[in-house]
Amino acid sequence: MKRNPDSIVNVLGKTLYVDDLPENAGMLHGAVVLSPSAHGRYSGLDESKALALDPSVRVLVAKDVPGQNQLGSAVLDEALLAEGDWHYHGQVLALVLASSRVLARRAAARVQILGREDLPAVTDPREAFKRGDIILSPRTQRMGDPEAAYKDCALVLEGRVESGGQEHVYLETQGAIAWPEDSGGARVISGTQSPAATQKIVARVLGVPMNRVEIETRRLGGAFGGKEDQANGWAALAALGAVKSGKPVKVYLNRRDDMLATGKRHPYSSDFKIGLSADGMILAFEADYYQNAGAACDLSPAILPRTLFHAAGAYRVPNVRVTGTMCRTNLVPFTAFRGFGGPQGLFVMESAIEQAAAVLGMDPVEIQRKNLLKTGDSFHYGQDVEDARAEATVTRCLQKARYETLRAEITAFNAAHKDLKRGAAAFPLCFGISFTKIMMNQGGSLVHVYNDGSVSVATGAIEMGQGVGRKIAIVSASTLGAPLASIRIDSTRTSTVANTMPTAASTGADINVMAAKVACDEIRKRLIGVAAARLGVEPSAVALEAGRVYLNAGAAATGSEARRDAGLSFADLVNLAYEQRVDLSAHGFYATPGLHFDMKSEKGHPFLYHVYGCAVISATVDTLRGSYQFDDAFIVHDIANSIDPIVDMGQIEGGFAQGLGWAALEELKFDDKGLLVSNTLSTYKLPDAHFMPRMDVEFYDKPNPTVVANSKAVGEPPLMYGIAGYFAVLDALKAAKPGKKGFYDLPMTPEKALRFLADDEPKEQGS
Amino acid sequence: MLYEFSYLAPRSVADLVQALDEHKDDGKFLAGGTDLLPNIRNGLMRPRFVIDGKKVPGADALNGGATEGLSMGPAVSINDLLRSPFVREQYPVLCVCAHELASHQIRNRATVAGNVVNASPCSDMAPALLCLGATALLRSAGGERELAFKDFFTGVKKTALKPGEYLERIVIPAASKGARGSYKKLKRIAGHDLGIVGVLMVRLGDSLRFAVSSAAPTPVLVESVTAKDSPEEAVAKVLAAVSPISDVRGTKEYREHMIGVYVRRLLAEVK
Amino acid sequence: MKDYAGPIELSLRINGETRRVQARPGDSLLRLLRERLGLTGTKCGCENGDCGACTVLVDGAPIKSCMALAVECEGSDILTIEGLRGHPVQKAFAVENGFQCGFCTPGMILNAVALLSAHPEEDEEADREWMQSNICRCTGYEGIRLALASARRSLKD
Repeated sequence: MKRNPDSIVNVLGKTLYVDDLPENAGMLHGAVVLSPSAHGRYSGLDESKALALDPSVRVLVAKDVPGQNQLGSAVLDEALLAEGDWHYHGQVLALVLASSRVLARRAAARVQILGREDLPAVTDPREAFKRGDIILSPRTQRMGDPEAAYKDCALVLEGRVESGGQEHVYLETQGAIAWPEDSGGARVISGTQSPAATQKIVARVLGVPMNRVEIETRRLGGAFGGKEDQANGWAALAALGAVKSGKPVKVYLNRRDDMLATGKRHPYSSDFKIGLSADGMILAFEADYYQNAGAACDLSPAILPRTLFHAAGAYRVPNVRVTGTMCRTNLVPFTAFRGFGGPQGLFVMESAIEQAAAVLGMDPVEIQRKNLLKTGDSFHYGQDVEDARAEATVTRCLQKARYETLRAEITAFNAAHKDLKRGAAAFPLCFGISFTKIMMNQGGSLVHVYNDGSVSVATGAIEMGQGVGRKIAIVSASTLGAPLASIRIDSTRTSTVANTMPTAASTGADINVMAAKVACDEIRKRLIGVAAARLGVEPSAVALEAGRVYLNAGAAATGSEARRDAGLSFADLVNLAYEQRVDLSAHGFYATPGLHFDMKSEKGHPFLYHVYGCAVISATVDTLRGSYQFDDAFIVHDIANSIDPIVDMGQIEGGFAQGLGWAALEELKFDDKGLLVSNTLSTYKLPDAHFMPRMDVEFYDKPNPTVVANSKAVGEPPLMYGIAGYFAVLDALKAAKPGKKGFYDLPMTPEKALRFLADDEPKEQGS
Repeated sequence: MLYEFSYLAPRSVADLVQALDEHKDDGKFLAGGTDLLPNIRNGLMRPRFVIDGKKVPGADALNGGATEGLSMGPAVSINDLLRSPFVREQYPVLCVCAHELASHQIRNRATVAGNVVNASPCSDMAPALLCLGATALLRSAGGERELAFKDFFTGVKKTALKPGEYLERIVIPAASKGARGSYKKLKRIAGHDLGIVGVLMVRLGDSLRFAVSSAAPTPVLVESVTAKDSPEEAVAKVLAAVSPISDVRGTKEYREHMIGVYVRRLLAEVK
Repeated sequence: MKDYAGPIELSLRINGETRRVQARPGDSLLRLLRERLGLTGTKCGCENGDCGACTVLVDGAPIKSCMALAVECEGSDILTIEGLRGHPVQKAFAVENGFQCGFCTPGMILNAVALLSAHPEEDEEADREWMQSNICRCTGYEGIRLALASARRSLKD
């Protein structure tokens, strides 16, 4: 397969990330002073030792902010720079500027906090809830009447489920470079997933209108949601520094500061209640999710509903009541992370099913299969299930994994081994695609065809490795009829395409490919007009394909007269249009159709479509050590028509790796005072090449007519396959402790596994 | 780096000794740098002079022969050790432990001497040196002295090294040749990780030696276990010698439990 | 004895060229490459020896350049991603999609180059051991595994 030029630049090490851009003479470097504890007050900062270090040193604090000292969007509760108190470990107290990175870091280390007084810190969301310390109001979604339904249930179970946070560990840490502008604003190159949101925050901090701030974003070294809202502060600090100093300022975090000061995936603590018939049909489900939102609102109000939307997973549940609450604690404000609240909700449902299956003496797979969503069912939020692919993907995946045989092999293995036990689990996926906030489902583009035939396509999409640029290029080329090599995807700038949405919620390709296509269609129409006039035929007789103009466009279909090359290349045609004063630029706009949601009734049609799929994972546990390895992962993923199979395959494998890390390795740890203790990559372990199982991934390729190129979004959904990893290990553990009730405290770790094997706790029982 | 320092690269033992003597209070010996440099970068150490011991001729010498034991200079890297056919044949226990240390790239830089001089409780080489009865040749302006490794570790990241003194040579006695052993290191991931706990058992003739890492302020040697002890007696003896704590990698209870598991498993492997 | 106090001038052999460069004794090889020589292909991921984004080859051996002082490397041959011009390993990473965001790629490629030169024949154990030095957050390592296999084949041909 031919690779795009991006690949080549990358493997040559020539990609310029934020910290790789050539530095301007006189550029200042920013370093941050972070709060030393999870909650505290202070009377001020002593900057004298920092200032004494070098004449270039300058310390900026809250009172230096010319506009509003505020990062919040849904709720205005997050100061850019602290003002007299701090609410989490790693909150920014001051920005220190100096002529070099090292000097800035040294100066920052010399800033002293005066009158420090530590205050009690709350880290547990349930404790925050008890104190009434919640953000906005709880949200509840319901369908049917679970209370009434329990009466008809053969089994009703309740349980508690914990899931931990997760570090993004984008390998390129957060950063931005800002140049002061004579308008009083700034031009900023920012590592953000959301240039328009960054622009708004920077303008607000500088106290200028948005038109005086330009944000440019080039390729990101990973993001995964961590640079959606969380990138804004660093861009705002760089811009503040630039405007105050009159010089370009770079703020680029080192890993430790990044781990301390930036948001992560939300930890959740949840309660569930599930009711089933004797044969394993789920009749009712209730859950209460206590979302640990951290010290500020950030994106929590957008993340919480996705938990609720995914509460019932890939299952048809007639009676549902689910409530979510954002609990304010003294931890870093938790934020977007691939899956956006979905994984936490899905883990609760799978925990309920696991527990129910144990009591009913069934394989969880049996319950999963019996309850899969079918076309014509309803989601509890009011949307009809259309084009359901749960059964198709689950059936195929179980077949691929030879599930019956696998079970028999595992049983035989476990009978033959004392210290090693194997286990397996399946996870059926159903994940809704669209921003859950309806207004965000829009995007724009600006396409220029230059008179040499080369094409520049700008959209709001951010390339961070997910291949969105590649998809936009492929669809733009085929729409224009231009050679793929002639397409260049421009960096994302707020002055080129305005009011864009974050590249997030897996919608980056769906929305931006469509926006680019709209503009390309417009230009193509104009070019075909020019060609038709030149060739003396009707426009309908002209076709533009892969850089050539063809006559008798419909010939292939009708077979009347042979289709033939008109002797014009795309570049010739473009030049002709240019000479005839035809506009070779176009703006495109796309708003996802058909979406609506009523916040009051919590009903509507929030998703354009759903992505389905299934994973079957097997694991082997060393019961003496509690350690485990994942053996095989079989995945059948609903990709529909893949625009770029190699990119999509990479998204599935990589998403799954992150999900497996979240479910069975990565442990975000705070101590009881709220200090982050997993604050380096040696204390916070990530999946390495050794950790991953053998992977066998298959595309389920039935086209999806609701979007461009009949494709489906791919960014987030595969992450959730990792959930099967948790239950595969639990299954193996239960083989060592037959009849013992499972535990639902993600991530699985060897220590927790061993604890399960060591303790004697109550056996399974229903009520 | 958070702090500025000067770099000295002595080219002879005499120069090295002199440099270390002059900078007793403000100098740090640099070998592989895989601990020292992060420590300086993070502000945990603030030497004014970093004295590179690798440029002294013979610093990377790894000598052994038919009759002598093994001697290693301070610049011998973990991978040098693993690549040495002599070590692999005569002192396989060293390789067993070296193999568990960090990642391949770190092992290209990290040295055996550095791994013990740092006296980290989770040192992977210390258990091997303890069980093999290794001695440290220490040199300073005041002269040379020899110290058994079992007397070398004095506390968390503390050793018997005096200011101005350095570990010139690690010597493993010929008597330990052919000793067999097995090292069980518990990590959170099969790949690169510091140990949650590590237990080495070495057999030489009839004697059994255990050494435990990450379970006490220092790596611990336990010589009291005999082949006659039952597994439970052996576990009790080893546990009596350690005092694990809870940290980000694991709890005290987990460590104690796993020491028991490993001691039993190691004994079972012998039988 | 050579005493490197304050700013010093180093002479380093990088990618086959001798480069004279002003430095400080405390400059890590990583910082020197990036900040004083403009060789930004070597990435800084953690500056703690954990991630491998800064891997370079020193005398053919892969090391984490955040964990070596530049001054220590005088007299050694240093190879960075800029010195690999169209190496079969690079081609394999491009063709097999051995990366996504690309930030770990230069370090991963240099590590792979050294690995394949030390172990030209298929060696699962060596691959596992060597590749653990480098973290990729995007790919799940499958593309990297394929790239390694494909590079090994093309280097043998």
